[in-house]
Amino acid sequence: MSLLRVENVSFAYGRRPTLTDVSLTLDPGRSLGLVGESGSGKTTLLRLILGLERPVSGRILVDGTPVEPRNAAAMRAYRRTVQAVFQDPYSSLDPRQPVRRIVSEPLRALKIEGDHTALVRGALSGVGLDPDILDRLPHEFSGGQRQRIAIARAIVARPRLLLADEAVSALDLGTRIRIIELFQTLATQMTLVFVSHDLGAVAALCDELAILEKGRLVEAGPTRKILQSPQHPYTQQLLGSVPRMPA
Amino acid sequence: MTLLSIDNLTLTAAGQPLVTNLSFNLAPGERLGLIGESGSGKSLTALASIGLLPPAITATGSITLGDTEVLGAPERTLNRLRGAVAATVFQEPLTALDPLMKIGRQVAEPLARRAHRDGASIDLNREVTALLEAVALPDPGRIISAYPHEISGGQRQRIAIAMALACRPQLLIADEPTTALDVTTQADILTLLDRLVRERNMALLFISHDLPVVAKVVDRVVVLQRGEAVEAGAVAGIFAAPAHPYTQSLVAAARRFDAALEAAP
Repeated sequence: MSLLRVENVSFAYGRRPTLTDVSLTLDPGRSLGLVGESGSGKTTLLRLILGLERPVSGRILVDGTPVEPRNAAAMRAYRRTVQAVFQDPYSSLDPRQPVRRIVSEPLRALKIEGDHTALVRGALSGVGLDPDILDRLPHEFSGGQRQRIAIARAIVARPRLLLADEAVSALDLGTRIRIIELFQTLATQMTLVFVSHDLGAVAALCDELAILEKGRLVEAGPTRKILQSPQHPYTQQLLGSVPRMPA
Repeated sequence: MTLLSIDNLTLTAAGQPLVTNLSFNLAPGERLGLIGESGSGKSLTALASIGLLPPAITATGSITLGDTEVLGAPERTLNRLRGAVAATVFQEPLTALDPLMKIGRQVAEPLARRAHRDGASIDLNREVTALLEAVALPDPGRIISAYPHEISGGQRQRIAIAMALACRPQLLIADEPTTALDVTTQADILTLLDRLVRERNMALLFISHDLPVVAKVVDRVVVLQRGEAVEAGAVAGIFAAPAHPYTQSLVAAARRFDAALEAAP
């Protein structure tokens, strides 16, 4: 059974449609790259999956259960299943909180029992950080390290579905490669939806691709197949626009 | 003959070196890329070249633009150089444009300055339209009477380029001009820059962290790491056989993304 099922989802901010009749499915353990340019609706789709917005029509099912933002009890349970990482590791971490508080936040919010320190140390190791940084503050870390802290927070409650919104876009080239490698490792442990405008990053990371243009899904399928023979003119244009290294 | 000559430039802030002993030359019509990651000092070098360093930064060494020493030059001297000798395009065109002024008036300002400088009288409306056509903006009539927020990011960057061209500079400094743009728009802007630099015989100083983007528009690169030039030379040679470990890591990373996109069966 699919872990994620998006069924004929449409959404509009006011009268302006941002997503139109989008459908896709993702099996457990697979990674999906949601690709599109600004205004394509990729971040809106991610917000709908997170339950931060409600579709105007259509529905989203995770693990067979509809995401229902108006049902507070259901949403609390849902937060154990889904976590997210965002673009800017500078604004997503509270500067006054030590790493321990930041990473353990989902454990407290979800009232997860057990030894939180041990879970936080495990999550930090899992993202390639020294577990002994527990009492340090965000400003002591580089952009790449901060993004690792944000990822540790996202995985500490062991979600089944991890959503990443442009999570490597603000990072330098070398750091970007290392964080993509981290996501590759995580993708073996959970299902990943990776939203990005960066086709190279998505190609390096995701099993499957979904290409959005102006709120419509124009092409979806296995990454390799789409890269080798893109069918839709927009996909062809996107791939043709990515600057490549000289031969 | 050189148009821009940077000799032993060192920039420090609060005793911390930000750029150390940097030297390079740019001849008229030449295209040079400054490559580096955030904090490498590439944008500061660009700002220093046109005398726009923040006051907290101390500069030593020498920067010659045209035949004028930039470091320590009075604002009046620098103002004559800006636009006429060197003009700049920055990453975010929204911050370069006045949000409350219609596009046409903004583009007219540097044109009027040039006319004043040359003691010429020009038909401003015609010149504005010609400039918008030069940067391949569709429907100049509509754009002239639009505000910056009413046009797309790519169109705004075309406006910023048009304004940089207005004073007919000999050197165009482009600091991450496509970083904030979508990939298809980026491709269009790179093509435009390439054409304009060629047609107008300008020199180009192109600053970017993105190796394949740099390779599209310049012939020569200087690779900066933490304010120091670690490697310099022809793009083809350096990208084919980088000598410094840092350049090697950058080139390897860029090639990995390329390889992923090739999706070799």
